[in-house]
Amino acid sequence: MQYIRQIVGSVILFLIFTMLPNLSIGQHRFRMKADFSIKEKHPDGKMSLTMGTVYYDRSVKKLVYQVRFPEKETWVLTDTVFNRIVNNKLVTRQFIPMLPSSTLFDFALSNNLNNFGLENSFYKATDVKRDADQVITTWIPDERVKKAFGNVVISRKNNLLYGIAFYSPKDELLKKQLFKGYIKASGISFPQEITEIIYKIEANGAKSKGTKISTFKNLVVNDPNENNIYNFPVPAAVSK
Amino acid sequence: MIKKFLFSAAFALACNFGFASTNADLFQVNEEELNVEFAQLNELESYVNSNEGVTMSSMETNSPLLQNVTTTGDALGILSAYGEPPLGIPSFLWGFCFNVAGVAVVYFVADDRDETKKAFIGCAVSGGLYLLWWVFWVLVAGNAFLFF
Repeated sequence: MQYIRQIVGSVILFLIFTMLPNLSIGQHRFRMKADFSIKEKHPDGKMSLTMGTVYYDRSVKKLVYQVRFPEKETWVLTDTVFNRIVNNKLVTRQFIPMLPSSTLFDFALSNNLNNFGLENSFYKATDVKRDADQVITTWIPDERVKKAFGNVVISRKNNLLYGIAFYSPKDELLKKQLFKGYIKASGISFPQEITEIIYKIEANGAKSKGTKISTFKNLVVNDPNENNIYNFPVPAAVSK
Repeated sequence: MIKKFLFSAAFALACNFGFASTNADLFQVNEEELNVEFAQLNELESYVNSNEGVTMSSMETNSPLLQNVTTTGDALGILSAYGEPPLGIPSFLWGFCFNVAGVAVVYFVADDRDETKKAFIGCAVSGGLYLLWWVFWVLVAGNAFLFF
């Protein structure tokens, strides 16, 4: 009897181990969308509000913003190219050396948001401290690029990214972002609110700051629909 | 490697200067102050949410909700906030500026077929331009002595 039990146990273990890779593939997250709202207050007192839905698909590497306010338009970021489409016409195409794969959306889908993707960069974690309920890690750039890049400080609460601060090589704070109220869908967590503060020194030496608050809701992961938006067809040429 | 460089380079462009501190207080913000600062925008957001399809141009220009509100959002600023700010060397430029060596760099360090293809296109464009220049100066303008 014990012999049979051992065989059955072995078979079950074998099945579990052979099924594990399939289960992990099944949980592969490749796309997400969320409604967003971005409120900005500039140092000169001007303000702006942008609202819409953001779509990101890792397989087609496109970041698509369907903006509904202030005006209806679509922004598509592909590899280093920003496209602005209004009324199905491409009105702006410009170079922006930013990769969709290095955005919060990709970090969230790849479970790499906790360290803002720094693990795969020239930065390395050095100092780790616990301060109240935050775990604060200081990331320093590689020696070879220290003259160009400053430290990055990351704070985590409950193992979720809570704050990130960027410094200049002279250790001056450039900007910081705070991530609050995570929303969850299909096993990923995404910040519900991001507060960003950018510090500036004006030409006359006066210090000022700009603030931006982004909120996200209605997070949907791996939605099989809306392929035409996730892989938005950008017109070939800019309309005159 | 290039991806690493792009990522790292991004932080250098986080424009302008401020004030330094490195403890938990760094990540504290005055919520009440923010609520006051953003009261008008919060109200505008509620208005947009409750009026399906409303756009700025469809609203009355003298609406108090639109006071000091600009007509266009900063698209590039918004994109940069969620990822890398603009800085880096595209693969095309690697190929264009460093020719075969640039393609080799991209091929060996980027480990990305598309990136390598872009570097190769850059290399081909650069080579084509050089050929045109050579044809003009040597065959048309007769300055072959410059090359010997």
